[in-house]
Amino acid sequence: MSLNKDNINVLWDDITPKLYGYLIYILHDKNLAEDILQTTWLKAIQALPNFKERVGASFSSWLFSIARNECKQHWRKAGREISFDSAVHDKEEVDSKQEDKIFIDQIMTQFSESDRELIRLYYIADLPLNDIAKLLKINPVTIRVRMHRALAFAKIILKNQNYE
Amino acid sequence: MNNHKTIQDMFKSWGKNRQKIPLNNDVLKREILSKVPINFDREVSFKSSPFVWLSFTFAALAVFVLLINTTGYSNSVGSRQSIIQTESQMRFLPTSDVYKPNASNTLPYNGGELPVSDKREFLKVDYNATLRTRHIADLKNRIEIIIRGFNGRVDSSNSGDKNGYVSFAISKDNLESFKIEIKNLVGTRFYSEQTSSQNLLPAKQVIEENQRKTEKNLNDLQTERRQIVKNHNQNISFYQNGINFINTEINTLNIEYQSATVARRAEIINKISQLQTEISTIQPQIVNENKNYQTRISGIDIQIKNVQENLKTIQLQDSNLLDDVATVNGSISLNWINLWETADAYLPGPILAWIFFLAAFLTFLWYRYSIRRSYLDF
Repeated sequence: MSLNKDNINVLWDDITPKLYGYLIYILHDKNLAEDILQTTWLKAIQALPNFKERVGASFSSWLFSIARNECKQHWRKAGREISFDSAVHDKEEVDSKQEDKIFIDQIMTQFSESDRELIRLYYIADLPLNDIAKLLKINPVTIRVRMHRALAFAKIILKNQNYE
Repeated sequence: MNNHKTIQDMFKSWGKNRQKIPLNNDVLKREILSKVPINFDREVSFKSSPFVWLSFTFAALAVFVLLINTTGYSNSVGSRQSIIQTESQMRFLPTSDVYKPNASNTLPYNGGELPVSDKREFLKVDYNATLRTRHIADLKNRIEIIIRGFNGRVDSSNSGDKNGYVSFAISKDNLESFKIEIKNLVGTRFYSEQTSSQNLLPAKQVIEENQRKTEKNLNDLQTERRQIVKNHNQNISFYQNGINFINTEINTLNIEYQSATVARRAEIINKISQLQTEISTIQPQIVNENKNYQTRISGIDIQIKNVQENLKTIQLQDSNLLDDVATVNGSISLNWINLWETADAYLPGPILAWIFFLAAFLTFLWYRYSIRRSYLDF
């Protein structure tokens, strides 16, 4: 496959919504998310020749690993993660399934951070479980088990709240 | 409602809703694309993947093993054929001039060429089989049961962890069904047999020739004996007639003596005296004749008895030969087979080549998978 401007344009259109949504969710700051999005892409463009050596690796997972490193650097500098407040950070969002969204956000608060990251990478970043396993440096089987447990846990909460 | 499916759908929906495009997406994209070098248009090389080379290596190894094995196989078949041929030739050559159906009966064999006019066949069959199994002792016991079931005789048997052996004798009529039974024990893949046969016509001809000679000898001796008896009777009769004639003459002279003159009586007495002397000379001859007769008759009787014994022996040898032809002597060797050899038996060609082919195929699949995944991920 040729990595020219046209292809990178296509990749941008495909990956950026996922990456930007992911960054907003974990950073709770759209401006910061845009900065890190830009930085991530720039670093990816610069490091693209190195990526060529790693045949078989997913480009999107590679991009997400860069983004995660950027976030970690930011958190190291900032000192702590800012707690999520959708009223502040996400207030402009209008969604037809607003009730679902609120419910999932409530569930996410009850997950551990590692499970939250797993859910984010799977459902927002839309990464395959195998890529998530590589990204998080966890055994793929363990990832599947954890995903299953997280969904089962969410299902129990759903049942308890009689949510339909 | 399927809660699990619903929760997944809700998460998917939630994830989709979380995906956002930056407000200044076009600006950001333009900026990023402007950083892409103009000459950055190089092909991503998937040929650097080691799997494709690994696949080629395995395939090459498989072909190499196949070629080596094929060459080795043809060589071994060639040598094997020559061995079989040699054995066959040796077997059918008249290496011994003695036919030995058993140790006690031996007959000379003239070793000459057999005339083609004699088309009789007395085929002696030998059967040898090799079975490969993982249960030596069990199989040995089952073979013995089968042999006895065919009214056969087990001559010897032994079994160990890795090898076993059974030698036996069965009727020739049962050989084919016996072979099928043995083959069914392990299946054709683990069964090999060698059956050889030899025409015992030369031995049969020797026996028949000896029998003919012996019978002729016996007839000659019996004829000779009859002639001796006849001669003896004639001689005895001749002597007895002589004595009877002399006695008649003496009686006649005694009657004449009653009415004879004195001079005539003296002549008669003299004549009777001469006749009695003549009788006394005949009687020893009779005794001598009887003595000679007894000697000759006992001698020829001993000869007849010996020839009759010889004839019986020849007839026994003939019977033994026919029994031997009707009997198949065989042996079955049992060899332990390991799992590798078992797999090899089921696969055409060397198993190592198959393993290399499989490895080549798997690595090729992995190579294809990695390429496809890389394309999809891009």
